[in-house]
Amino acid sequence: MLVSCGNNPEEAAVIGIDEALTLLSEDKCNEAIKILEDLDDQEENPVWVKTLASAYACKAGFNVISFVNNDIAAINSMNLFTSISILSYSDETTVDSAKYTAMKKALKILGRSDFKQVTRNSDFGLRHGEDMGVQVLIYSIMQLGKYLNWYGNVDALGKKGAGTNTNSCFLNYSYAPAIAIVGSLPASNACQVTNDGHPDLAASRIIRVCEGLTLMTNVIDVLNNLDLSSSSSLSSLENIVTELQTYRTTADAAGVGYLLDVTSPTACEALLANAADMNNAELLFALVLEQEHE
Amino acid sequence: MKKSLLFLLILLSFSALAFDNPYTLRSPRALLMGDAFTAVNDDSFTLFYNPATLARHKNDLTMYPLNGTFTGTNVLADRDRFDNFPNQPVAASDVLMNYPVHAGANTAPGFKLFNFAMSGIVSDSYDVLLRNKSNPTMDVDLRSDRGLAMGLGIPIGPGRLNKKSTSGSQNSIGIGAKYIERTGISDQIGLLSPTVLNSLGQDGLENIVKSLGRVRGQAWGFDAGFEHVTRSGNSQFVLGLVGLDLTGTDFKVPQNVNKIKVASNRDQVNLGMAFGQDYSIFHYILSADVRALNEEMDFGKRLRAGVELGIPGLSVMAGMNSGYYSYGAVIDMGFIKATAGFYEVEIGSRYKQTKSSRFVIAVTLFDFSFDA
Repeated sequence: MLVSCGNNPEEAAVIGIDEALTLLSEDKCNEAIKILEDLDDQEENPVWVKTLASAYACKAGFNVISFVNNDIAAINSMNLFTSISILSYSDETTVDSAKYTAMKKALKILGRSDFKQVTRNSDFGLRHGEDMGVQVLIYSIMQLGKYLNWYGNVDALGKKGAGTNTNSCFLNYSYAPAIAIVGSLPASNACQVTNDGHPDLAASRIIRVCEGLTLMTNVIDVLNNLDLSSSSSLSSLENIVTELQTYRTTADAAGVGYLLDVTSPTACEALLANAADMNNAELLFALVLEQEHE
Repeated sequence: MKKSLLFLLILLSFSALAFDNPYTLRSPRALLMGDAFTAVNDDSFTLFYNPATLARHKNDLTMYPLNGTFTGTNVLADRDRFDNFPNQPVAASDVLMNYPVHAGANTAPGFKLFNFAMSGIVSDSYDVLLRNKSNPTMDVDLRSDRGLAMGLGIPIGPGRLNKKSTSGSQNSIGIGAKYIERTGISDQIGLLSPTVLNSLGQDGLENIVKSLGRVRGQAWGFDAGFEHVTRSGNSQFVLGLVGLDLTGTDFKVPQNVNKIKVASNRDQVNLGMAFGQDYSIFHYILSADVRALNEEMDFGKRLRAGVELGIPGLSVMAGMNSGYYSYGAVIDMGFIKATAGFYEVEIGSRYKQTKSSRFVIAVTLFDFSFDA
């Protein structure tokens, strides 16, 4: 009589997710990941998707409550990239750090097929889709902070090129319109030459350019598709949209605005394998990251 | 009999919920005895533990016209947590991480007529648990139940026990049915999701619950049980086996775009035993349950044990429920009976995963029995 029936996969998933959520409240990230990844066929279960992504965010050392309490107010839409590069989770001391890689994995899990908010909404319904959207938004901002911090070589105040690395620009530039933009940057901007980009960006140019680009485009995509105005904690993020819209206008005018619609890193990498598109990405970096982040 | 029990077990399926609360109603006295009540349940909550117990109802008619039970989170058990409680909702969430919040109220007026019983079900409960620091997620189980339960216990075999029997034994079987309308929501929602942020901006609990989204479902549930009683002098031993919510009591809700549902009651096969002695001026009961025999779970989570010690007008109870403690007392003044105490329950899927510390206060008025 004391021998019970076994749990079926659906029941095992509910129990596994329940246990993982408790572990994630205790910062036991790897144990939660193990439990969740041992569950079969859960890719269409929104609670599993959100929980697994958050388990990797946990592995990245990320605490959303701390981020919302301490960092969001520090984001200055008038000085967007500088302020994001020095948030409390932005500090990076090596390329592709374990924390950066873990958060990259979290975003990939939430990204689904095309990393679009409309896809999350249609796949999981508005309730869970929007829930994931907020997750993507917060994780992307945190990850963008690390990206800007490392590749921008910032100091404690977020000033580009003033960190412990040697580079003064994000990229090395060879495309004439991009070179022209760099040449026109004011003296206050650290990037004054075209061949002083971050060596790690040069080493895996397409992949890492796409990482930076899609972090920005995912933030734009989510903010354009979510209404956060009712939240006292998150509504300030909507100010970012206004600022990003000006970047969009600039990019459109230069004929490279289409790149801001690319939200999937994989699609981005396929696109930038084409030399002309890579040139346009170079121009976009010059127009947005170099120009807007001094 | 063995074949029938095996068939019963095979019929039963299992459906886990985020909150491990597969019950319709709980007896306040049981909660203070570690909920080890499958073989005790001789109060007004018999229908929710084992309908076979109705076969040993001692009177022709017993009425339970007015009763009310209130349960809530025992904040006294974790006072330090609330020092310097922040004003901001998100900051407050750090304090409330992995802290189960519970509030409930119910009444179950009813009667027992010979071996038949009927009880109304009016129960509201609110359970919220915030977890996961890297994506704060709220487990929400809000339920408002309105319904009716009825059941019948039938002695089987040659042995019979009545009110005056001082020795002998009796086997009985029982069946129960209940119809419940459940309004509420059972979901896991991100604390920062637009749904929750919108609801937190609402005024009043009713509007908050509404904006979280709630649905109404209906369900029929069925129970079946077996009980063996042996009495000798002032001693009584009871063994009970029950299948509650056979094949699961699943609430059918209207289709909705967000796929919101209410919690269902999963089926449970419970085994209980109790031994007690009554010396008129003093009585005691020792009881134990092994729960959820049809489910795969940690063994410690199945176990319940309880004790009741009493003198006329006063009983004190203590128990252990899945490794957690309970204690309290009942004061019986004839027309009014008051129960109060503290208890702890496991609301997670695993043994000692997530403890919910609670208080219970219950009052019953004008209970009476009648013999023709």
